[in-house]
Amino acid sequence: MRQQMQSVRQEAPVTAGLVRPVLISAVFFMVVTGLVYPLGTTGVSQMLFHRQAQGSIITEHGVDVGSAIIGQWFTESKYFHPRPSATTGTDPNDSSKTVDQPYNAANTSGSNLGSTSKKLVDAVAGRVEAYRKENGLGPTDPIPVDAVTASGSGLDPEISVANARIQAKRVAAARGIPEQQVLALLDTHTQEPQFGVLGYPRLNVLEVNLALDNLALHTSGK
Amino acid sequence: MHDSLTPIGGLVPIAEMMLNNVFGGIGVGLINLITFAILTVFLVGMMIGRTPEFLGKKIEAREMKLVMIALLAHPFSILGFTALAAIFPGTLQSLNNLGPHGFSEVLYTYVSGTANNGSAFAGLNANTPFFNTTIGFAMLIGRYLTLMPMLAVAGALAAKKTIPEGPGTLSTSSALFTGLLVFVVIAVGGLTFLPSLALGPIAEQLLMGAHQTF
Repeated sequence: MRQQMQSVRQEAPVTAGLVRPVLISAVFFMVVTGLVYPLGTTGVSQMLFHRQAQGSIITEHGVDVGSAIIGQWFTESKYFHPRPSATTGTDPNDSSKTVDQPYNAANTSGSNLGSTSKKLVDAVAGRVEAYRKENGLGPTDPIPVDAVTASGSGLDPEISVANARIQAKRVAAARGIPEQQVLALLDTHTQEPQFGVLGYPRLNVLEVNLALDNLALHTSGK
Repeated sequence: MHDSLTPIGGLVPIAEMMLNNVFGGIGVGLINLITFAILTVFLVGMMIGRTPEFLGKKIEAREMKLVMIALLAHPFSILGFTALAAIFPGTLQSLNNLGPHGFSEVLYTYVSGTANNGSAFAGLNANTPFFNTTIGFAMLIGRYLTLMPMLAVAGALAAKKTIPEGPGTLSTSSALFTGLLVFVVIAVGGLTFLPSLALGPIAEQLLMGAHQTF
């Protein structure tokens, strides 16, 4: 009991001496973690990885047309189509409702449907039908899975090589160029797995579509 | 996004947060492991008929009561609120998936709130007054009712005298104790939560294998 009372009396000077170090360390860490470190990492990344730090923007004839890491929604038959996307946006006519808006980069999301969802099974079946019709496939031809499933972000910029090769026939027919030329273009733009083992060979849809347009420009210019 | 995981894929984060030793909020791992270590020492002490002692301090009835409060707050919050949401009429409108996956959505929400994690099965519309209130309470219970009893235990143990190590003390740094600790964590966590997991992810996995959709 006596020891407890003595320690209570001695506590006041100890806590008074803590106020200054606490304030100084609080301000110090605010400055270091809130200003110095973020500014430092931003500066280093701008110096070492300038293009990536600015968003991997792709520029075409002086105009920013998009990013290499954000997908875009192509629907015309003369372009390669990306993966389906489950993103939504607000209805332009009624701001309280949401409407399907594929590749809406302001509202990235997946469908959040589970593996036993009837909605998902029906949606994929519908996409399979549409893909077969669009690309002239028979009723039993196998389809690459990334052509009929939405990505988790809804903004996947790439498609698999198999998906691209199936679409090449339609794209060549729509543009009136031989399919071999389109396939050769695909080969030059195929990105190999990172370090040879991570991921699959894939193609950036925006890049390939821009290359197709440039091809058309140069051949029509001749 | 986690909503689209396969059933067992969704079961893994749920189970890890239910054990509350793998991931959760900041600091819960250490304090929960100490809680389970004290519980293990107590169980072993009861089995071999010696007074349990942890890090040289005797564990008595008062400390065990506080440890049990800390241990039971976690399942009380998760299972209690999930059951409440299951009988609440408005929950069905919030679900994005029907069937066992919908139950998993609600279960994950309260597991994540109680374990102070913050992720969710995103399909669930948890922005309703019911969910906002109950998940808020789950966060408070999961944070403070697991931390405060253990702080009280720490204070009680700090005031005690250290018992010197003798031939009968159970070493808490041996492989045997680690094995016992892991077993106690899995047994206590598993027995408490297996029924809810059976209703959600496990049922969904079995039904998925039978090609049933909802």
